[in-house]
Amino acid sequence: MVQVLNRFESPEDATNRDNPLVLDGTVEGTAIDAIQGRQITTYLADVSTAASAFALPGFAGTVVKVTTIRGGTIDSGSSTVQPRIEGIAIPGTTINFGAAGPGGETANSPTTGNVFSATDTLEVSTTGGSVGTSPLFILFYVLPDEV
Amino acid sequence: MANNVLNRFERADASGDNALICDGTISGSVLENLETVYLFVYMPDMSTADFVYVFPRFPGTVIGATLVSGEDVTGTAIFTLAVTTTTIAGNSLALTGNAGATDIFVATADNTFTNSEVLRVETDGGSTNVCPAYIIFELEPT
Repeated sequence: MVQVLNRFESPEDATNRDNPLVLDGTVEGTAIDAIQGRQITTYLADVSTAASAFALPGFAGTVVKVTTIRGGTIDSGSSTVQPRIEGIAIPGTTINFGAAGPGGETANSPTTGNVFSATDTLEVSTTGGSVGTSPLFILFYVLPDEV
Repeated sequence: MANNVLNRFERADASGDNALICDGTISGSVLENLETVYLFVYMPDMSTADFVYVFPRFPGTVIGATLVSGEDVTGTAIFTLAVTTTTIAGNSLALTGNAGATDIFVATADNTFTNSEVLRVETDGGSTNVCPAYIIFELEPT
């Protein structure tokens, strides 16, 4: 008889009620989505200097949300920050940073152009048009393709 | 109920939700994937021989790591990963070329750590201009 991949096994004995739950098959549902979500972080040393920050998750998945927190003060001007997958902008995630103090937060939830493969890099680029050194802390919230 | 098994579906309530209670042992390949932890480390300049660290604060196993360079560089920086000061065995690891260049490390031995040990990334500084490196450790908690 072939054993099913997901199963409850029998309790070990009369006093131990542990019936191991073995999950070797497909598991799905909103609760699993919440558990399997991964936070991939990266760091841009200065949003006011044209550059990119990167991260390589190493698995395939979907970017569900991109959040940023600014770590310094922008005195003037404006920088456009763009999250990307393998160099291609993720629609709906562009952020413009103008004059402001530290601590400003942003959050964007893309719905298209947000799928990445196991060899794709996640990137955040800045045009560097603002004045004032300000690091940027970036978090990609992603759902892996396979649990 | 005292005699309930530890892992079980409970009777559905009015909403139709029959809660899955997991108070017992859970195992399987799916669970291993759910437990995987990714820890990010930032190295400001891989062209200067130096170390960066991260402290998981739980015991586990290093499965692997990914690296990405942040700028175009000349020369090659060679990286070594370690648990505290003991080098983790695996493939060689290096970055060179354009911004966004990648390399992937798969650990093969000396890759377990306790909850009081740090993970270390070392660069030999072999590239020649200032270039950040972005490292992600893939870990499996014990």
